Amino acid sequence: MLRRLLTLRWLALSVLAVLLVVVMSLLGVWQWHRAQPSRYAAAVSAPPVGVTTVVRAAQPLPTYAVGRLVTASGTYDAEHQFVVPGRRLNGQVGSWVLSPLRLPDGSGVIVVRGWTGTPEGAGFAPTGPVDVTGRVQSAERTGSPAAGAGPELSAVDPAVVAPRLSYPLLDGYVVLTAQSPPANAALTPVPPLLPTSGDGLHPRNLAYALQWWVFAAFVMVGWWRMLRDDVQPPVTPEPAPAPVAPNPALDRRRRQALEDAVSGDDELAAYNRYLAELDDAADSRGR
Amino acid sequence: MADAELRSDGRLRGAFGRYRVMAYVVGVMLLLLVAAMVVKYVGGHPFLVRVVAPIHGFLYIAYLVVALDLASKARWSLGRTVLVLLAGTVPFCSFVMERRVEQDFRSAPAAF
Repeated sequence: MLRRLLTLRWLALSVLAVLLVVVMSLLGVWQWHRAQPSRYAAAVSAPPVGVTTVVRAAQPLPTYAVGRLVTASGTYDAEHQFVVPGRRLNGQVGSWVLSPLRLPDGSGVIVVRGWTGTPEGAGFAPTGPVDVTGRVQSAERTGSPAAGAGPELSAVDPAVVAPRLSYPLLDGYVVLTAQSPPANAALTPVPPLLPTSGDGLHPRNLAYALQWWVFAAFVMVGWWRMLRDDVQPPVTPEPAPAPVAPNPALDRRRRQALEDAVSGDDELAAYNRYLAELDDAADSRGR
Repeated sequence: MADAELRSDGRLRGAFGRYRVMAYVVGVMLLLLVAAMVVKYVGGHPFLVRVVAPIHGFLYIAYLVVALDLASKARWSLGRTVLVLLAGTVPFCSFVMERRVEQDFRSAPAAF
């Protein structure tokens, strides 16, 4: 069998089989990973961490951080407060109110402090140190560069806000869920957007993974069967048995058995039948 | 008939039986899937497809397994094997193919 494997044909076939098995297995592993509950969903239920551990300064927001609960301590930038009008909440149109929060490292992060139906009554952010808890959101890309110099923005986009500040901003923004000291009661908390993809295992991808592994098994079994048949050709169906050449000895015994049976000598008849059967057996084994 | 041949014939019979069952099951499931797709794309109700499609997918894999097993035991040519495998993907085709395979089996089980 080993020698047969070392022929060119079998080397090529074996390499092909190994390649197919590897590729199919990896495709299965890929689907297996896709079947797992996503990191996006995991981010939603993860315990809060400091905002700078998931959003690094001067780096784009990692997509798996979206929806993550974070904490931040610092002071709100009292000189810059922005509103984003045209935001719906509970069927009403109002504005989001946001302020950059200065972090101890000197950078800042935009915090959406809440929603208000009357931007004039939004009030201002607390001036002292605050502890903020909220969820990370990816920046809303406006597509247009900074609008005017007023407090009104068309979207929550750090890239648009940053040029108006003297310090760098983290990518994305944080939607406030809790604050100490408590947030202005005139602001209604904005429900953060949570990633919807990845709620648990994906059965379809799991099935695809299984399917790839079954295919890989097909290849292995096929390779083995081909090799086995090649080394030891299968028993080809026997042609119809050729008419057996008359066996004088056999015929004699059969005749004898018949005669003995007729003559009534049971013991002799049984013995001759036994001999005839032995002959038959030897005959069929010999083929 | 020698022992080995008898045994392999029995195994062939078993493989053929499994193939017949799966060809029938996959054929019926495929018709169900077509009906479910009509319900989805004409009727606008996708729920039937969501139930039937994955079941059909699993059964088709099982069909592939038993058909390949039969192909290897009956020593079919590659072309015939592929034809029989593909027959499971065309509505009604698996019934036709199953009938043809059965006729061949009945007429010459030994040379099958």
